[in-house]
Amino acid sequence: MYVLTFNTSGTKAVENPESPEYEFAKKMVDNPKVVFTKTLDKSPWANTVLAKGNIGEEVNCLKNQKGKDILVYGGADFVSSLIKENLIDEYNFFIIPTAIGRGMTLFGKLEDKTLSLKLNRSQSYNCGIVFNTYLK
Amino acid sequence: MKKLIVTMWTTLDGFIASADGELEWVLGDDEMSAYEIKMVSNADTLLLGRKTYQDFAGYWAKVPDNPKADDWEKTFADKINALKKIVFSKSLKKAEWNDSTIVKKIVPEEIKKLKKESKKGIVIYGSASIVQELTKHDLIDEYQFLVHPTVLEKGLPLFKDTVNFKLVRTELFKSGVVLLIYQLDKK
Repeated sequence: MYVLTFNTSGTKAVENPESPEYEFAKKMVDNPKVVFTKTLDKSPWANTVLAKGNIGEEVNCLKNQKGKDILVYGGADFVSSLIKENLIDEYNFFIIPTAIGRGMTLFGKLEDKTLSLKLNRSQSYNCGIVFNTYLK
Repeated sequence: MKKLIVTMWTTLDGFIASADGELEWVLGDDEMSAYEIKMVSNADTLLLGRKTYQDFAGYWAKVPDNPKADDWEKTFADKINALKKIVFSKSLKKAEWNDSTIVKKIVPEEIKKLKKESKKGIVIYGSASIVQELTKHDLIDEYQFLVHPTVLEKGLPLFKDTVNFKLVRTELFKSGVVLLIYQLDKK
């Protein structure tokens, strides 16, 4: 299951079985999705429900359901809200070997709170990316 | 020619200090102490900017006479106090920490000469502006980032411009620090 904000939902890769992205896209489309929105009335994407209630209650309800884990992609402000409600169990980061000096902040709206995590595991790839997972 | 190595504590979101310059997120433990002692043991020369120089000189020069200092601090202090120091500063008049020389500006040929003369290696701690300038001139052989499991959201970045690296290797500390060792990617 995925939880998303509106601007990160949408893809057409699933219409082309030849695409290298097809396998991923098929899972994205088939898996149930929950989009948190205050403005959307309906979702243009299959297998999607809208959530308009309290984030904490909605997400805890999802976590209590049977099934596999729940993923959240991007949406820095949305992720900040999940962090504030202490709802995230695991963080996966890909560290790209580039310094950019300035850019977007990681979560956007932690409001001066420092987030301290526990390293779970670390793996490096030949391309130079280091993949770290952290627990809350 | 010996290596010029940058060693830097950073947060997970890439800051080298909080917005007010604090380092309260740094995780000191036996592994970190061993890393730092090895770093200065494998060097004979230290390059620093004016601010880091004054911070370090004010602290480490006094550790040998401080009965409250930890054992690792005493070991580290003996090593770092004995290094040859170059401080880059246009304003500094006196540099009284043992074996210090004030240099007014970075001259690439002079840094190359230092690397040739060094018998063990050269280390830079902190000193973001010096690291930026040496990076522009492709004078740094290795960047060692000790990535802490902390997200600050705002703080002081190490670089102002885009810099591309090649990953050399990684090392994990029990504290959750991941040591990432990079070289400059020149392609």
